[in-house]
Amino acid sequence: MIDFVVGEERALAEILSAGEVAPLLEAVADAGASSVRVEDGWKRTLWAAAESGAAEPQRNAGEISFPVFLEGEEVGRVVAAGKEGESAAVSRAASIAARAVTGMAASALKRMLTTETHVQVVRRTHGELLESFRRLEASERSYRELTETLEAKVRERTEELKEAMSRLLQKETMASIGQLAAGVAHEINNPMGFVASNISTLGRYVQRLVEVDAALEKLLEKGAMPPEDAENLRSLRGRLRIDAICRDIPDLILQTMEGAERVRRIVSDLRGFSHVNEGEIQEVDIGGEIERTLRVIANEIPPGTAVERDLGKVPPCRCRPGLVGVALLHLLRNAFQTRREGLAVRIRARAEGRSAVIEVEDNGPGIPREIRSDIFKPFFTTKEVGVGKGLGLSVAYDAARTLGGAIEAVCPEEGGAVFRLTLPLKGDGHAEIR
Amino acid sequence: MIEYDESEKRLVLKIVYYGPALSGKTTNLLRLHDLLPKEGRGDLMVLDTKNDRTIFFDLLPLLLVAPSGLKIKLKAFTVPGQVQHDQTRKAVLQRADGIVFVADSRREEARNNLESFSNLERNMALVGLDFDRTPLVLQFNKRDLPGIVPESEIRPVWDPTGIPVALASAKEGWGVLETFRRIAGRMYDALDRRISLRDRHGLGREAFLGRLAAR
Ligand SMILES: Nc1nc2c(ncn2[C@@H]2O[C@H](COP(=O)(O)OP(=O)(O)OP(=O)(O)O)[C@@H](O)[C@H]2O)c(=O)[nH]1
Ligand SMILES: [Mg+2]
Repeated sequence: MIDFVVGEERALAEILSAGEVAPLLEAVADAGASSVRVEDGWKRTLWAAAESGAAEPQRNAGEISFPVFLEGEEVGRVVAAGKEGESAAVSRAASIAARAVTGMAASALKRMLTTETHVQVVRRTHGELLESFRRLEASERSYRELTETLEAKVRERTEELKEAMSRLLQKETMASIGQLAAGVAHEINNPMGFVASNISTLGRYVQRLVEVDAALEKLLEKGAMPPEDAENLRSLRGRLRIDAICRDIPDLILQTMEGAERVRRIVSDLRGFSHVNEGEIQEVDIGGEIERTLRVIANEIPPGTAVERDLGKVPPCRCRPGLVGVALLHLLRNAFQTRREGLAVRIRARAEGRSAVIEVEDNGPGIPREIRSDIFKPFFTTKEVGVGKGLGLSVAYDAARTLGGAIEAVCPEEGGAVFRLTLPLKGDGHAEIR
Repeated sequence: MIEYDESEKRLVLKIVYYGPALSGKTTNLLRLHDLLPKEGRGDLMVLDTKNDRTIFFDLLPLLLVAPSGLKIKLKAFTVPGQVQHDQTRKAVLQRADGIVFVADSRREEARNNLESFSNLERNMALVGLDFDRTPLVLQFNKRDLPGIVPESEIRPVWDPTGIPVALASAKEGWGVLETFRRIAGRMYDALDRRISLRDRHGLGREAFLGRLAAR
């Protein structure tokens, strides 16, 4: 590629060729010159007429020369020697030749400059085209990237919206469950109040009847009754198994009262769940909360499941108890759903620094690597249709986040899964409830 | 600078006449050619034109020899003013030692002048010329025409910039030599700092201007 600066100096020899100059020199020779040549500014021969031969021509006294100009500057001379008696004609011819070379040089230079400038312009234009093409490509690339990030952003945003929607849905579900639970609890509580108080009254009454029966029995043994009546009474008591009944009654009453008490607790637990997002921030006993939650979902625990508790000393957490219950409920439920038979669930609680750490470990199938990042997303479920809505873990996650804590899942090599719920002990860091 | 060869005692300089289309750059060189004595200048080389519009450039070579024997050749170029020849302008502008910006004085040309001037600034940067260090003279040409911006409006704008302003009518031939002397003078100052024209080559400012642009 030619690279040059417009205006760069050119030597005569670069501009003209021997072929261009030769006819002029021949003309001078024809006019009677014994030798004719073109010299450059340093008196070096550039071109010579054919008959002068290749040998350096003799410089003799009879030589005459005329200047050759380039860009107004003398850059060489046409030098000629005349044969005897022909010097005038040779001189004229040489002078004409010098001017002709000057003219040829000027137009050749013009041609050269034109070509070179043109080439340079074309080259630069080409270079700039390449450059602008490159820039276009780059901007196209950045547009593409922008589009891609936009798409990702939209996806992310959609995901967020979906999560928000599911949270809303969940809240609504929780709220209606809560209403239902509160209604049911109220409906059950009243009759249960009668049941409980009536049973204890009944117990007292029955005790009295038992006492009467005992007094009656004593009379029988004393023989204070006519023998026929006594015999009738004995056979009646035997037939009605009064003795066995009297032995059973205290247990029956006790068990019924216990049952009533359990109903009462379940109902009040239900009420607790109906107000997850409400309620005062209070000191929550984590161990107690775990026990309570286990009671609530007792019927969901597959038969034969080994539930192991290691609820070490955890100082009370300052937070909203409802949310802790929600997080625990879903974690425990998730654990109880991991297998039907031979399930072992370990629940551990301990204090770690300024946090309470609750771990729920199961010996289920574990979480496949490829879905680990999805399990806390709403509507993500591995359970068969109908078993779970896929909201549980996301709700637990949400509750933990709202409490200023976190949930993570750990999958040990040997199988199973450990869900670790971390809650700040000082619950001032309550995240704003969304 | 096109060339400076101490051992060959040769210095080749470049002046570029820049400006919008039809502002009179070529006319400036034509006049300069006519005004300067034949000795010490070459012929004006006008490269191919199209309807008298420059498409490559014009070139007027000027010669002088310093007392030290240093041969100084000064090549004055014009650029094509038409917008589409920007590449050629850039090519010509390369390694310029001095620039004459030929503006058309008519009011309606103000916008073209400004665009061409920004183009000059941009191209100077592109070819590696420092705007603040390259000698520059601003010529307001076509002063013979009606509807021109008066000097009283030109001075307050340009004097504070330190860029010398020359008024001319290239058509009538006045102001052309004056413009050339001013750019030559500025170039001398810049050169003297670089290669000590006075001390090493015995060439003073007045002598330089006198030989180059004798009136
Ligand atoms: N009236 C008047 N006309 C001028 C003057 N200088 C130049 N012109 C005319 O303006 C026209 C353009 O002049 P050029 O010298 O060719 O302009 P240029 O700047 O070389 O133009 P480009 O080569 O296209 O960039 C010609 O017709 C000139 O005669 C002037 O001082 N006064
Ligand atoms: Mg022109």
